[in-house]
Amino acid sequence: MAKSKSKGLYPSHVAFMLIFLSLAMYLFFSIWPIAYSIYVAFTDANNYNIASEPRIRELQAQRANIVNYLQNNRENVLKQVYAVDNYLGNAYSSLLTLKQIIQSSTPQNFSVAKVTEIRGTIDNALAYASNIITSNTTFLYYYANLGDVVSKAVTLIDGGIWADIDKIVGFKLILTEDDLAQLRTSVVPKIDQALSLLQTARDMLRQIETNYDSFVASATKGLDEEIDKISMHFVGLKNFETLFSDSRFPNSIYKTLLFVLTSVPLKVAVGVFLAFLFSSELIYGRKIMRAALLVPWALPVLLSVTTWRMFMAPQMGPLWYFLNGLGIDINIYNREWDAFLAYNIVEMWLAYPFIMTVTMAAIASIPRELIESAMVDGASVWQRFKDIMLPLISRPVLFASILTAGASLQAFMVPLLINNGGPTKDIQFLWFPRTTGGVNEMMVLFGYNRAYLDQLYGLSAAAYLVVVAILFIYALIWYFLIYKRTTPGGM
Amino acid sequence: MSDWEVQVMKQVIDRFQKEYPGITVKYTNVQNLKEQVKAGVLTGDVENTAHVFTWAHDWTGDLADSGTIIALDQYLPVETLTDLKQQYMASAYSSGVYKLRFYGFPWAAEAIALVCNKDFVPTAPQTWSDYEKIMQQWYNPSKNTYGIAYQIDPYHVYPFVTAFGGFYYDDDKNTAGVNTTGTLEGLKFYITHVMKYMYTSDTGMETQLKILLEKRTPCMVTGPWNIKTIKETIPNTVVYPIPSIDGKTPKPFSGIKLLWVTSVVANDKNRLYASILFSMWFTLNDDTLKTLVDAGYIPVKLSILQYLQANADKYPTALGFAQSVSNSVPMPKSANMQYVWGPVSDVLNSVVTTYNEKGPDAAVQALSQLLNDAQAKILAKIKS
Repeated sequence: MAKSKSKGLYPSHVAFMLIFLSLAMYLFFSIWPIAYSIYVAFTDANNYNIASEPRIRELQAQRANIVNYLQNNRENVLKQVYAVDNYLGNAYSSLLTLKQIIQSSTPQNFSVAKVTEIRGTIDNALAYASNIITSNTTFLYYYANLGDVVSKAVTLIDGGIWADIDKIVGFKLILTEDDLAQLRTSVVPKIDQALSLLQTARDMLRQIETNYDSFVASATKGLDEEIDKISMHFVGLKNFETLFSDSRFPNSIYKTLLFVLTSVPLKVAVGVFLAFLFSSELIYGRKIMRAALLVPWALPVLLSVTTWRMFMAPQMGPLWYFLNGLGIDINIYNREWDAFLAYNIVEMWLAYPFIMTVTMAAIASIPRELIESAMVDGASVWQRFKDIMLPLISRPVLFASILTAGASLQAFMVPLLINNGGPTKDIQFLWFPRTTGGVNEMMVLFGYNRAYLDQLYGLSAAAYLVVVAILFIYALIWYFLIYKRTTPGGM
Repeated sequence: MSDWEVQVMKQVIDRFQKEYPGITVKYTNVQNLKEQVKAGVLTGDVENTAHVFTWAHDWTGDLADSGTIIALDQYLPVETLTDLKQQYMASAYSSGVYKLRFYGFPWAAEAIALVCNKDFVPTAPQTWSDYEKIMQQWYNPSKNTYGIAYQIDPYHVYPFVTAFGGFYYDDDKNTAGVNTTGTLEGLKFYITHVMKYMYTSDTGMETQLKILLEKRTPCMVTGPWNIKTIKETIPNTVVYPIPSIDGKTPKPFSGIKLLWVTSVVANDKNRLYASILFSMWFTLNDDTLKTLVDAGYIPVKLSILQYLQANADKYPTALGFAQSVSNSVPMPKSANMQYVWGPVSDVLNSVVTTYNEKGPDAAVQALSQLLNDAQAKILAKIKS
């Protein structure tokens, strides 16, 4: 093509702009999300670390300054450490008083008001201590496990000691001997535990003054560990190892392939049969019936499969009652192969309009003269069907069954909505270790459940990579075995 | 939230707006609450993300660690916090504390209890054996009547686990106790003394609730979230704590509903203070809390609990649940707890399947192996 040399937009420039734009959009909308999903498959992403950005940034800002800050503000930090030690000491001695009151009081001289007063003192002291410990002027929370120890003490006191006192004393002003006995058995051991935790904390605080540098190193390490806990890590092939470390995923793949082998012949047979039925001129009103039979294709899958589930549900569904009346008990929630059969039936119901339409179009394209000449030559119905019609519609039907096999391979909505891949049982597949899981959990459903039930996004992404690999192999098999053979230019 | 809960919330918000006309509060009901809020905080979308939201306390760990909610002790002085603490039940306040910082205002507690039809069970069964006699009279599968309705999942069977000294997860020691003797014994008892009288083909909430509402069973073990629905069909509803088993108290999980303030308002001082004010008002205003009690929520503010006890006959259901809450064990806040629900759920589903296929003895036999498997799975997750 000759290029015009005008001063305006050259055709080639326009072409390059368009190519550039479409490449950019493709990269952004397709390549980038796919690359991200593939990346996630090699990390340990779960709901805990996948959205921690703000907190990680906050902690990293602190991490950048911690060493300098602590070294330069030693006096200030130590003053605050003394303050915490004081508060913990107050709490300690008040707890001792409380223990003594509980152990040696009688119903006559037990004072609920005194207990409330002590409770207030302890709560106050611990609140002030916690305030300093968690502030980022001391970073005390990250020092060894001081944060943990004090946290345990506070939880024990609040959730154990005060909760028990609330329950046993309640709003009473006078206690009985029985109440006191209960207090002694349940509360006193907890007070002892709390006392020992507080003592541990105080000992740790005293260490700080003697060895300040080790405190700085320890606090830094603590902060690092906290950041690490909420970050996403690259774990290489660990997710894939996990997938094949027990029977669940291999069983999913097996069940999916089995599902393809059982459902595809069923779908194709029913679809072809119905197509022949409604192509024959013997059926009256077939045009209307043809349109009505397309309903499964038209309805949203969510609605139709849920309706099927309600239809077949034990004790609730009309179909169950009907079959039960005939003496057949089908239980889709509790029996593995009943549920599998249900999947096949529903999948067939969803897919037959497609096969039927394709086949009817193929039948309509067979020239009438062929059939008529066969009739003239004396061929029976069966011979006409087998030797003339079948071979002539084989290509489109084969094509349709390949597509429908792809749909079976990706079965997701059907097992999800019928019983979420249940029933849950022991699974032991080939040489893989035993485990408990849904026996009918097809591979796509397996990935979905790992993401939405267990919130293990990394594992789910890895499962999907394996699923995509299997589908790719399937497409390759299709291409080499069938497509190449049946197109002109193939064998 | 179900419809009736939405109505109550709207009433409460109207009252707040009358008292504080300068502040506008908009109420939205959201699906996938956790993901939406986390995503909203990440994008910093102040207009469209919740500023204040509520759920049970077990999310606190996850939300705090990822920076989604703000620690209120940054804005409230220590004295206020200690004052606040004295207003609530101790376990309610401490459920809003995580890693020594205060995150959420508690406004209601929930724990499961035995919800009964007073016509069939007029007084509280004192022991489980007492209740078993009632169950034996009722259990008749050919007539479709059962001894008890029970939704089988890890949360609901926990009282039987704790009665025998078992547990799922220990926050302090960071270990799982799914295969301890206590848990095993508890679940064995459950199979032989509870499942025997139940309809086991579908152990989901809707089916079991239907059995109770159709008066084919005297009681159901469930929580306050179903009370409104139950009261509509069964006017004489009464709530009893789960009866003791041979002197052992069953301790269900309790969830404390907390109001958290999200980080998305951290930079907008007006919105921030308005959010904190609203949360404090919601959980401390006596009229609001009484409205919530009437709606079926179990209060955690001490003064309201006192009021309930003084007017026991007017609040048969609320007091029953409150008693159950006082016997309860708060759900662990640790993020590691999320690794426990899945495997334990698998164990229970497997037990139900085995029970239906081969009967109670086979189910009891299979328990030990199943629990060992679950324990191994949980430990692997916690360690990694």
